[in-house]
Amino acid sequence: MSTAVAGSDRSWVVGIDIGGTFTDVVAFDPGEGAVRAAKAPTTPGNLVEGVIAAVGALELDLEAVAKIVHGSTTATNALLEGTYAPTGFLGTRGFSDEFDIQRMVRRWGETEWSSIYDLHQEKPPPFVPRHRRREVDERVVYPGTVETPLDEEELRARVAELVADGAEALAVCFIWSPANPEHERRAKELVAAAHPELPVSISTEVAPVVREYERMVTTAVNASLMPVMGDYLAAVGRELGERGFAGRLLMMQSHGGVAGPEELVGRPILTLRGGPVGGAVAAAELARSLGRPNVVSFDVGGTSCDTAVVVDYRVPIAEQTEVDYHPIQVATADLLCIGAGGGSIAALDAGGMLAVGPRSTGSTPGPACYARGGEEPTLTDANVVLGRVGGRNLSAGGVTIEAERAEAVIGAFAGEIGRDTAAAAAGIVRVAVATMADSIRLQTIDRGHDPRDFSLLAYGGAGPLHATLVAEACAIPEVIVPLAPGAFSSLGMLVAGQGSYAQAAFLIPLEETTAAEVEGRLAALAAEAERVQAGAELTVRRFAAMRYQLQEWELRVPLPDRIDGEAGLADVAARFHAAHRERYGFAREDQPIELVALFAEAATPAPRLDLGRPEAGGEDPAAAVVERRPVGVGEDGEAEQVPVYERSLLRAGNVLAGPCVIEELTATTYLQPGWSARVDPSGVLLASADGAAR
Amino acid sequence: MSGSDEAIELVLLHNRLTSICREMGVAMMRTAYSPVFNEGFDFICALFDREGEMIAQAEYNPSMLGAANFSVGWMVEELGAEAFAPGDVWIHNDPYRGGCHLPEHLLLKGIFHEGELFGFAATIGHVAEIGGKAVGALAGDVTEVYQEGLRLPPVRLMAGGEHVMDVWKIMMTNHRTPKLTWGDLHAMLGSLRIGEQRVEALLAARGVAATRRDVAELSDRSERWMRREIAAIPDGEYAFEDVMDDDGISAEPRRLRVNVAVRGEELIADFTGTDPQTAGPINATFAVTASGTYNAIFQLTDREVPRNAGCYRPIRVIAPPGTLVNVLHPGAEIGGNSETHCRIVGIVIGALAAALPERVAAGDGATGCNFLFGGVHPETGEFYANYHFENVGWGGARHRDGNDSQCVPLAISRNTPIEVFETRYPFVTVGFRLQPDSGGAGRHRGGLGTERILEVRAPEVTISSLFDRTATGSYGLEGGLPGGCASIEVRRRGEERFRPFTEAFGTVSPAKFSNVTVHAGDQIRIVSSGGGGFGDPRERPLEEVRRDVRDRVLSPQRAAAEYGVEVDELSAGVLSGSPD
Repeated sequence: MSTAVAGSDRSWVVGIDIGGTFTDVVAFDPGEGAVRAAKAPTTPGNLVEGVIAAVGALELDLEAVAKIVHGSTTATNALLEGTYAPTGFLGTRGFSDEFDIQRMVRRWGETEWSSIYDLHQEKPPPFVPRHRRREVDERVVYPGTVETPLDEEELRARVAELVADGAEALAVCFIWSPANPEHERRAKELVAAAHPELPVSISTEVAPVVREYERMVTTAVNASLMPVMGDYLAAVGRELGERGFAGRLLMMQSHGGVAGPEELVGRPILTLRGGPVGGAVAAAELARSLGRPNVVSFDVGGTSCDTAVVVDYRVPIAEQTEVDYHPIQVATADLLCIGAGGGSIAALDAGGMLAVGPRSTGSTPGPACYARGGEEPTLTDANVVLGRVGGRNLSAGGVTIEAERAEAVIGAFAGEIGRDTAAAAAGIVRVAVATMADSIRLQTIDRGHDPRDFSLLAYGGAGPLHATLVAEACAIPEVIVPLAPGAFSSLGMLVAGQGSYAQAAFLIPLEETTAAEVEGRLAALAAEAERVQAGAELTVRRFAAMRYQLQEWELRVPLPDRIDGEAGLADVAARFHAAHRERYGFAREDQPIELVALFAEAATPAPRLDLGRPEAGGEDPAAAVVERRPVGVGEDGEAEQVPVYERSLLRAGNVLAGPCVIEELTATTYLQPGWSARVDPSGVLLASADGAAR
Repeated sequence: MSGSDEAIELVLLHNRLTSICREMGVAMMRTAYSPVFNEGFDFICALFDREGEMIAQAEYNPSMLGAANFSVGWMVEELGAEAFAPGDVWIHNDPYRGGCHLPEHLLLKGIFHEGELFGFAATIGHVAEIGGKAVGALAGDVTEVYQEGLRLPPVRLMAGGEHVMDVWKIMMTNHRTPKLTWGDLHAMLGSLRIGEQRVEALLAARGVAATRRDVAELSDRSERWMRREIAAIPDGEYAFEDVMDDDGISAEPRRLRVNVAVRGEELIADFTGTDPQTAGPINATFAVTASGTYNAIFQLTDREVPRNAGCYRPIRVIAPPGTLVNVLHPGAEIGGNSETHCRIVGIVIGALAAALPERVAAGDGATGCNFLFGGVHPETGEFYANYHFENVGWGGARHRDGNDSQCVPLAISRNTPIEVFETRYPFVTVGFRLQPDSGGAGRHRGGLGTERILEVRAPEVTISSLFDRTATGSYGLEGGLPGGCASIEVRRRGEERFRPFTEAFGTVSPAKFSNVTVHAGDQIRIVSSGGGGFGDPRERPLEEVRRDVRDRVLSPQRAAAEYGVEVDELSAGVLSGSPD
C-alpha cells in the first residue's frame, strides 16, 4: 500500500490516457526530469492490448517504474456499448418501480425546447428492467429507526431467483439506508454467504446520500460494472506484472483523484469520467506553475467543447453526473460539455437562422477539407477558408487538408444565406464562438465568478484556434496556450492524480450538532481517503455540503483544518453565508443552516513537469516566421496578409502581434487583431488584448 | 448591419437573450425554499419589450410561458410605462388580469438604459401557500376567488430598490407559511436582478436602437416560421370534446368542446359549445385556455420555432365569456389551470388527430392529482403546508407506446424524493409503484400511472384534494382504449380496505374536496391516471403483450379481454420474475 520507491532504481511515473483513437502514454522521471511519450492504437473490445502496446513503445524498463496512473474509458465504454453485466436489484418493498417512474420531468427531447413540447420524446428505459428487480420486507424511517426488520428468509429466496434468472451482479438499495446502513450491510453478508462469486454493491458503500432514486440507480450502475472492471484490472495488472512492473497501479477517478485496484473493484463507478478529467487537472497544475489561480480550462476537439472553471488552482467538483439520463451520484469534475468542435456542422434552421452544431461529422467522414467523404460545411472548413488553418500543418494528425473542398462546401452554404464565401465562413466561426462563450458564461458569471479575473487555458486540436475570440466574447483578459496543446490531456494523468476522496451523508441542522461530532466524522473520512494515498507529504482538505434550512440545493464549502467548539461552528456558518453570497448574490444570516454531507480529500503534491523550455531570445519573433499568407481577420472575413509562425522556432521572450497564426504539430493558434502574445520562459504562450501580457 | 448579415447577428442576439433567461432560472431554482420551485420547476423567466411583447424566454413551465403574453402585456397597458422606475418591482397574482390561477405571482421589473425604459425582466412563480380556505390554495370545493387565497392587484413590492414593507406585511400575514413565501420571493427578486444586469450589459454593447429593431425582426421571423408550420396542416375544421368528472360542488359531469379551424397560415381554436362557468373551481381563465391551445399547437409543429411574441400571433382563440374556458369574476378558478388546462391541451390535440394522424398521440392522464395538506408539525411545532402532485401515463401514438409516469404537458415538474418528503412532512410512504393495467390498450398502449400510499404520522393532518379523470379515462385514438382512471382513497386506522372520500367522509365529489382531517395511522392512496391507447389492441404483437404480462404492467385477465391473448398463449415462465 505504499507509493514509496523501492530503491532509487524505481522512480519513473507513467501516465496513460485511453482515447477514442489512440492510447497515449507519457513517462516522467522526477529525479532526472526526463519525459518520454509514445502512443499506440486504442483497441476497443480489449483495451489492455493497446495499453500494453503503448507502454511497450516507451522502451522503458518497467522495473524502473514506481507508479502507473491511467485514465480508462472501461466503465464508460461498457455503459455505452451495453457490455456491462446483467444486474439484479434488491430493494425495500414498495419502491423498486422508481426505476421506471424516475423523476418524471420531461427532458428527453433532442433540445431543451423539444423537451417541453414533444409528445413523442422517449423516456429512458429503467436501468434495471422490472423482471430483474425484487423487493423484500424491511423499512427504516427517518431519522434512522428500524420500523420493519429485514426479512432474511425472503432476501435469500429473492436473490436466489435473481441468480437463477441470470443476474451476474447484484445491487442493494434500501430506503433511508444513509441514515441507518445496518440492513444493507446484513444483506451483503447474507448474499456473500449464499453466492460467494456474485459481485454485490450496496448503496451506502457507493453513494451514501439522501434521495433514493439517484442512489438506487447509482448503485445498480456500479454493480453492473463490477465484473468488467474486475476483469480489466486483473488483466492489466497481470500483463504489466509479467513485464516486470512491480510498482503501484492507480486509476483516475471522475473527480481527478486516483485510487488503486482494491478500491475500484468494488466501486468501478468512481472511474466513470476518469478520461476527460485529465485535461482539467493538467490545466489546474499548469495554472499553479504560472501563478494564475483562476483559469477556464477550454478543450475543443472534433465534436465537443469541454470547459471547466478552475478557481484557486482547483478543479470544480459536482456531486452528480449522468449517463444516458441515469443519474450518477458520485463526485465528478464539473465539466460542461457542449456540441461545438471542429467537426460541428453549419446549417440554416427552418426559420433561416444560422446554427453550428450540435450535429457533427465526427472523425468519419470528418470535415469536407479532410477529403474523406465529408460534404457538409463544418467549423474546421470555415477556418480553412479563412486561412486560419493552413495546409502545411494539421490539428488532426496525419490528415491532409484540401482547402478547395472547404471552399466548395462553404461557398455553397454562402449561396444559401446570400453572402460571399469569406463572410459566411466568418459567420460560422462567430456563431460557434458565441455558443462556446455562452457555455463559459454559464459557468462563470452565473456562479458569481467575474470572467475578468480569469485566464482562458486553451488546448485540444481546436481550442487555441478560437481562444482569443472566445476570451474577448466573455471578457476574459488573457489566453494561455500550453506546449503541445493537442496532447495536453494525457499529461493530466502524470501531474494529477495524487488525490483521493471520501464522503458521507450527515443530514442535520448545524445548530443541533457539535464541533466534536463533526470533527469525529471528518476524521473517519480523512482516514478513508488517506488509506489510498500513503505518503509523507499528504495534505488533507475537508468540505461540507450545506444549505439554508428549507432550501433543496446544497453548496459545497471548504472547511478549516480544525473546527473548535461553538466558535468553530460559527466560523463554518460564516463560510457558508459568504459562499452563498458569492454564488447567488445574497446571504441570509438570520436563517438556520443545515449540514447535508461531509467530504475529505487526501492529496500528495503533484510533480513539476518540464516539457523542454525554449531557448531565450529577444522580443522579435521574425526568425520563427515560416510564411505569410492571406488570413480572414475581419468581422466579415476580410483578408489581410499575416505572418505564420512555427511554434518550435519561437524563443522565450518573443512577442507576437495579432493578427497572426502559430502552427505546431498538434494544433494551430490564431491571434486575432488587437491581441498580442509573449512566449513565457516555460514555453507557454501568454496572450492578452491590451498588447501587454500581464 | 446589412440585411444579409441577419442570419448571423440575429442568432447571436436570440441565443444571448435565451441564455439570460436560463441564467435567471438557475439562480431562482437554486435559491428558492419551496419544493414547487426547486424540485418542481413551477416558474418561468422571460424578457419583454417596453410594450409588453415577449422578447425571449427559457424552457420552464409551459402553462406560464403561454399565459405571460397576457399577464405582462395587460399589466404594462394598465399601469402605463411611466409607472416603472429603476429599482421598482411590481407584483400581481390576479387571475382576471391574465394569470393562470391565484398561486402564480408575476414579478415585473423595468430594464433601463441611460434613464430610458427598454423593456422588462419577468418571473412568474407558483407560491405554495397563499392563505384562503384551505392549505395550498387548490381546494376542490371553493366557489369564489375570494376563498382561494390572498389576491394582489398590481402593486409595488420594491420601490427604488427598497422593500415596500406594507405589501410584504400583508402577504406575510395572510400566507400560512410566510417563511417560504419570503424565501421564494427573494429567489424571484434575485433572478430579476440577474436579468436586468445582463440586458443592461447587452444594450451597452450593441446599442438600444439596433437591439429594438433586431428583437422586432426576431419576432417577425418566428411568426413567419409558425405561419409556415400552420400552412402545412391540411385546411379544414376539426372538432373534439371531452367531459370532466364534476366541479366539486355538484356531481354532474361538464363538457369541454373545441372546433379547430385551419385556414391557410392561420389557426383558430373556438371553444363555443363548452359548458357554462361552474360554481366549483374548475373554471379556466382566458389565459389558461389560450396557453393550453398554444401548448397543443407547439407539440404538433416544429419544436424549434424561437419562442417570442411572434410565434403566438398566428394562433387565435375564441373562448366565450362565462364558460368553463373563460371565467368571469368572481368565479372560482384555482383548478382551471391544473385540471381544465390539461383537458384543453388534450382536446386541441384530439381535434387535430384527423389532420395530423402521424403527429398526435392519444390522451395523456390529464390531471395533476393535486393533494394538499398541512398542520402543525409534531416535531418542529411549526406550521407546514405542502402542495403535492403526481405524474401520469401519456398516450400511445402511431409509432410508439406512451411513456409511463411523466409530468402532465402543461408543466415540467419533478417529483419530490421520498426521502426528502419524509424529512419535511409527517408521513411515511408505504409504497410508490406503477399502477398495472392503467395504460389504455392499443396497438401502442398508453403509459402507466402510479400508485402512492402515505401513512399519517402526526396526531392529525388537514388535507384537500383537486383531481379530475376519476370517472372517465383519457381518450384512445384509432381504436385504442381509454387509460385507467385516477383516484384518491383513504383507509382509516384499523379498517380493512381503502374507501373513497365520498364514503368515508361524505364529500360530494370523490376527488375535489377540502379540509378533511385525517389522523395518525390513517393511510391515503393516490392513483394517477394512465394514457389512452392508439390503434386496435388486437394488432399488438404477441411478444409485446407477453412482455407486459411478464413485467406485471398488464394482468392476464386484461390481456385476454382487451388484447385477445389467452393465458395459454402467454409462454411458460412468463409469470415468474414479478417484482414482488
